[in-house]
Amino acid sequence: MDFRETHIKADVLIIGGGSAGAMAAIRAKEVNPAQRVVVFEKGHILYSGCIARGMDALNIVAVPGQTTPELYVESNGMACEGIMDEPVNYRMAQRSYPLMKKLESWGVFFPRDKDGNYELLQVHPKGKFCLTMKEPELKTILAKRLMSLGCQVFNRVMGLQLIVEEGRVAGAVGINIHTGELVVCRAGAVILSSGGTARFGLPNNGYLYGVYDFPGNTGDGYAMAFRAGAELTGFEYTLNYYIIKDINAPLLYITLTRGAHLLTAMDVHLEDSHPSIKSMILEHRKDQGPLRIRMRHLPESKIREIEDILFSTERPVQERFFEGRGVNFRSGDIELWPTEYYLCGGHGMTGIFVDEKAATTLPGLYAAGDVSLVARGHLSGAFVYGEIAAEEASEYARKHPLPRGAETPGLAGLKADLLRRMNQQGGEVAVEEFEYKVRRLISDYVTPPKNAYKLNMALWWMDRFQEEIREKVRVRHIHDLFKVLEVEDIILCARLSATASLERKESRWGFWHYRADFPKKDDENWRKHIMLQKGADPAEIRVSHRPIARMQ
Amino acid sequence: MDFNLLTSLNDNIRIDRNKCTACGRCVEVCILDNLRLQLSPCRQACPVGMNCQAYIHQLAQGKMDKGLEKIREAVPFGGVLGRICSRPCEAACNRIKVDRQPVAIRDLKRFLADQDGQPWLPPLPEEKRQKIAVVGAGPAGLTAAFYLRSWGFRVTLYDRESAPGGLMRWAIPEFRLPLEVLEREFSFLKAMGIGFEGNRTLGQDLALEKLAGQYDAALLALGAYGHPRLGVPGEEARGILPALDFMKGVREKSPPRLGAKVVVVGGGNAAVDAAQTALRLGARKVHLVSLEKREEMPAFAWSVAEAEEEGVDIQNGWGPMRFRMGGNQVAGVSFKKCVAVCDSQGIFSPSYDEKTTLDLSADTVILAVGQKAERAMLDSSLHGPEGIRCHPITLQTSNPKIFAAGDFLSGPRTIVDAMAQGKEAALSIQRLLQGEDLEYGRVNPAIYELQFEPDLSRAKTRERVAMPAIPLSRRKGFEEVAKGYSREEAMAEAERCLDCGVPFGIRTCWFCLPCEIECPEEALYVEIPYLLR
Repeated sequence: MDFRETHIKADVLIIGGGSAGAMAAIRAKEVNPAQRVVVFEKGHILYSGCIARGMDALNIVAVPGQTTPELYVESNGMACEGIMDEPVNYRMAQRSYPLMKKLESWGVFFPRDKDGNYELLQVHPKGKFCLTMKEPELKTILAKRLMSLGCQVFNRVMGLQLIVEEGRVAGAVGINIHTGELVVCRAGAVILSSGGTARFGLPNNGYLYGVYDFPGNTGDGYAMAFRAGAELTGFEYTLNYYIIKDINAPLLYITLTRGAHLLTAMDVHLEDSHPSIKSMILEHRKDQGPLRIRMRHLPESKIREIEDILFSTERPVQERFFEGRGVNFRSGDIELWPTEYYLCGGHGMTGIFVDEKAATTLPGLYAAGDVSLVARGHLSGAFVYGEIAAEEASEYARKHPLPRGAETPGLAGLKADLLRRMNQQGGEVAVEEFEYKVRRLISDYVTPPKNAYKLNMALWWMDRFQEEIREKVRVRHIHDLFKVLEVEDIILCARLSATASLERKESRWGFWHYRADFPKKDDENWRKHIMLQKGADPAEIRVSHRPIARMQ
Repeated sequence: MDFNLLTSLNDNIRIDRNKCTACGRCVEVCILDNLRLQLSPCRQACPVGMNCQAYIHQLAQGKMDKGLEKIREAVPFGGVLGRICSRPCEAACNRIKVDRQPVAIRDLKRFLADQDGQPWLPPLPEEKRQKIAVVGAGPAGLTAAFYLRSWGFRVTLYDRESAPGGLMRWAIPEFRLPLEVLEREFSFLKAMGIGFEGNRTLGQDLALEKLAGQYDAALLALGAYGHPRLGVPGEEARGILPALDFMKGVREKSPPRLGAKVVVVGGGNAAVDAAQTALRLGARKVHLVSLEKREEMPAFAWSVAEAEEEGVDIQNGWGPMRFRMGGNQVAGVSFKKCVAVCDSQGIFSPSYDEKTTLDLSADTVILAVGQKAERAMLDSSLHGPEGIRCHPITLQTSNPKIFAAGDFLSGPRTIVDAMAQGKEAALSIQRLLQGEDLEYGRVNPAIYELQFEPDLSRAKTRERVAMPAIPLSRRKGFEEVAKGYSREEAMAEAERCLDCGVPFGIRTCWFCLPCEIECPEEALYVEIPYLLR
């Protein structure tokens, strides 16, 4: 393996070709068809990311006449318990309806009733923002569009390192996970859209890839941004969901909003008490679980409607799961259970810090989707900020010509490091076994219920793992290497999470940041962002605070 | 065997092997890199990477159109290869482990190619402004021209002969490769708007510097049409012809006059072709005298057997010593015994026993003692004693605009090798003209598993179906000897295929289903992994 270099140039480089990245690529070509747009995609762009088969809804659409961006800011602010930058969220809500119409014009299907109204459901504390979508081909529509516009896609390329030159980001180096070739892309601006850290804690089913969120997301973007010096936030927001047991596929809002019942294991009904993921987890922790979804009382047409969405969109494999379990919605119940813990800017509040222009704290670097913080922005946030990032990145690239350096800073060191790792042919531990242990200990020490002792143990373990990944783990070929690089990013995320959790000396967001040593919420001292940034020392994580941004 | 925590899990990817053609689409689109492909040995052996398993699979099920499509995914010349390919696939075929006879992969290819009487035209995209010169319209040049044109570039083909085809047109005899097959398979040239300029010879009335200036890229695929001198007394006598000149004369319909006794010197395909052609032109006795022992002869074994069946007298293990003259006309050849063709290092360096000789009288001698590429017209910067200075993968020479492919680059090899190189050179030229890295991603062994045991339990007991041939009595003219399979024969032979290649999962599956959705044969089913089921 010689890690042969391919050097290319772009105006805008997008790392991560999922929802946000695909939308960014399209938008970059819309604002300037002549500019060169390159996408690095670790999998294959046609289906990659969380929405391989679409999603059952766009969770946030402020439909004029129904709701307003102001209401969204208020409602989501409540859901985030006050830790939410208002302008960023306002802008997303503002653009959410035009975004939806744009998708519709591309062939994405949003069902309407006989009066032409979209189906809006309430999933937030206030307001019906969740707009039903029924489009399994959502990702292929976007992928084909960006390719037809002339974006150059590098499939099987994992982003490794940002190129930083003269105080701005000037591109990135990626690696082809099949051939080991390095793709060195110098770019006027870079958009990170590589998702969150889905492979973080271990799922109850024991399968490394049996997680709720897309398992290809291993915090690569978080790691690249951090190592280049950008500020990250929300890493104490270790979240999990409460969805279908064992398979970790979602169905709460799809069913409850259509009249399904929610029962505890003791048959107590909860559907009228505004259940949310957060509240169900708390119920489960009070030993009332597993909670169950029951639909047998619903009319046949309603059940069919639910089956239709569940079995065609997002995780259509659910149909065979229920068949295998002998569960028919007309007679059986669906068991729910807590998922593994993960980090995510879309479902949660973990991400690279961005403003309402999708700009990170590093000049030339933008971020969108789950890798960035647009609190609980879900798919709408990914799409809207994918567009905004493309607009801003294109402008930046236009205004800031690339430095004319002959050498790519950091490349020689990166290559030497990769070559060193390929010398681990005789390592005694398979990378899969290593990943299992790392994630088991993340589950033990980084996730709630938290306390200072556990969080410090987490840091001790992650330091140890960082050494062992060099000394003990076996790297036989490029596949092992890329798995090692993924696990190294997971380890960094665990360090970031433990550090942020240690800093936030209170409890907040239900069980998600519950500290047994600081069990109460403390708005007076902690209604703020915890920011993390690389220190001067490579092992150092510098912690700071940032006030919440309010609307002017 | 490779055990880790994951591979001890059950593979949740289910393949219906009655439907799967090992096309690899699932492997291509898996977003978690979960899939790999066991690559059938026939496909591994094929220089153009043709998915033989797939077209044979379709044929066995009667889906002739789909089978032909599979051939055309690799090259546009199924009819040519189906008749004269060297068949490295068959040598590698796992069927040999069942009944010692490989599947007739080449003959099945011919069957499918002959199904479609119509010339095939892929859809043409919008024309690009860049122009490419391809020098040499043999297998390498024609393949390159086809692909470059199909991608929208403007292409002009140059050739020293009056019509395209190279050795396929001007050397291989019609009883192996009929002219109408060539015309059918080359009709794309006109239909796709590829310019052809015949009777142009590089270094004489065609200058490389001029081409490099006029065109955005140039491909040199001149072939290896030169012949080495024997360095044997009497070599200049009348009645001694180089084999390629002889065969070309026949194809031009003005064959040289042959005497009653013909001696062909050589052991390769050109020698065998020449010997069989001499018989058809009326020679009363034809000897084929080869340096090599019978089993060492470079000619295809099946061709040698056919020649012998037709009455060619084959003498093995003799090298020419001198030509006996009658005036200035050749009258016979004296041979000395060849003890070994190669030295201990395997290098061609024949050693002889001068005391053991063989004398044959001859009115005509045809020399088929090897071909070599004539490269003198090239600038010295482009080539040296080792050959043309060329990147092994991209086929780009030391001049970035100039590429080389086929026998001109690598010395005499097979037609399918030349086609493979033509295709690679075309891809390189496309990337060059589109400003892309030439080498990136072209070698990708990671997704294939090459060593594996085939599932022999799927073998149906059946003997290889023999290719029907015209009887000896009809082999007076140049009628095609091999008649081709009937539909029943082809389907019966296709059933012998073991369908060796298959995709499999490496246990990083997220059961998201794109693999299942993209499978063109609906052959793949994703089970919920056992741990979650």
